[in-house]
Amino acid sequence: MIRFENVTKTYPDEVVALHQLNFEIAPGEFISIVGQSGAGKSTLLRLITREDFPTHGAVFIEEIDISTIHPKDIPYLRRKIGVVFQDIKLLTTRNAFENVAYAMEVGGVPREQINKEVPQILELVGLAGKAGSFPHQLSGGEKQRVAIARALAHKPLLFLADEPTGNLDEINAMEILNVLKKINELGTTVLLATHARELVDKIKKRVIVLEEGEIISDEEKGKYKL
Amino acid sequence: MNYWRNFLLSLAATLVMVIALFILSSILILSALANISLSTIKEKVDISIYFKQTASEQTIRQIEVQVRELAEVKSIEYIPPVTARDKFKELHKDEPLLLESVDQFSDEDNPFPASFAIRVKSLDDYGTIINLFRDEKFTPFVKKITDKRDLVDRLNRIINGVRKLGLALILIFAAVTVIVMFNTIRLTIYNRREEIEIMRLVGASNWFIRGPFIVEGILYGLAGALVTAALVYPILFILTPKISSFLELDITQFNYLALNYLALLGILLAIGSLLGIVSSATVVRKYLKI
Repeated sequence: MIRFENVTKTYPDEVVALHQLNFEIAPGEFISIVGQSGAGKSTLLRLITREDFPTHGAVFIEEIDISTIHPKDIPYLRRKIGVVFQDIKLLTTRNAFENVAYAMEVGGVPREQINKEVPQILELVGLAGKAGSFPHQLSGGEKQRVAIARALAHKPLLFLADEPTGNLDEINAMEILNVLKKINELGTTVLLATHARELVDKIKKRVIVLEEGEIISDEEKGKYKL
Repeated sequence: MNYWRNFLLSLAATLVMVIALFILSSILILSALANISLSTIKEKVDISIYFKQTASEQTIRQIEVQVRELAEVKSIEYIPPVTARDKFKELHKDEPLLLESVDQFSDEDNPFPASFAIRVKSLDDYGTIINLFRDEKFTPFVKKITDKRDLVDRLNRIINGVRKLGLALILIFAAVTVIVMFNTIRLTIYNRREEIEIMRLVGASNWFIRGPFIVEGILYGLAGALVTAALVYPILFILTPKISSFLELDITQFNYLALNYLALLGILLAIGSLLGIVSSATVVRKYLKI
């Protein structure tokens, strides 16, 4: 599904964010990428969504070197990838339903389909009763679940979560983790970037540990260790 | 706060657009007026050939026939000494002293020379006619040739100078407009950066993201054009009769401008939206990464 080949990313001020990364993620996997802030987790995700290019090496998604994708086709790549962030990024002037619908409107999905599918997605993330609530009326965990619902709107093949629980307490964090697991069980590849130890230890799936831009361990049933 | 600052900036963007377009339309109108007056003046410019007293009317009439045949000549009018004197008297009818001195002369020793007033089809033919009368064949009869070409030349130079100045002004204000609009739209992009980030995140196409800002630029252009038209047209309606009487132009020629009111609006709308598109497209290219 995703393959990093000798990927090195150097920023203009000579800072090496990622150094010679080689790994592959199979379809349907749930993989955690852990490391302290500055270890290169976010850079790695930005390379997958093609917000950034590798300095050396290549990133392949379904055997396509994504640096060769025409800028005009990037939106189509991004519609195959759902992304959520620590800072959630919801439109504050729209309610939960509209925030999710927005992603579909942007992609030109017909109104009827939007009206049919958005409630289903909201139900999947456990927000069936909150469709009309605005972001300021929702808790941190609920907001993040709206963001997850929005990321699912295009039925992505790949789901990227960048510190999704960073601002949440343990209970809310576990709820988010459960939603991610559910998404994974439904067949979507999930990539979770985090430094939350208790979260990673509970997942009991593959863990890649990044330190200063390099992979220092990659284990099938890993634990958080640094 | 943000909204207010945004409003002021939008106002400034529209205002500079109005100034630029106002200057543009003033130059266009002035230019059209200059064209009309220049062609009127060109039509009025004639060559005067004054004959010596020794030239008999018969000789002059023969020359008239020859000149009339020339392809360059639009019209030729023979002004006999008597008519010339009457014209002089008419011109100076309020100056009794002058009239008195003219009346001293009898018809026979009338000091006013006979002359031709020749109009040519094109100003370029002016030289040909003058050279013709400088020819040996005619010099024995010709006393004086008046060349009014330098008047037209001077006028031409002035008009061209004004046009160049106008063009420079237009370019300067177009640049100022683009810069101010550039900053206004950049601020809009900044204010909406979160929404833009979300759009990119959920895979909005380029045009979906960029379109609204291009439209914003065009709207400033159209608004500027309409405000300018609202300013220019009343001024034009008030001034038209005054300019018309000042330049002594007939109404039919003035219809030329009147009929082009719509064309002027079209030009304003087109140039306005063009400036808008140029500004917004530049901002979008520079600040809206995919």
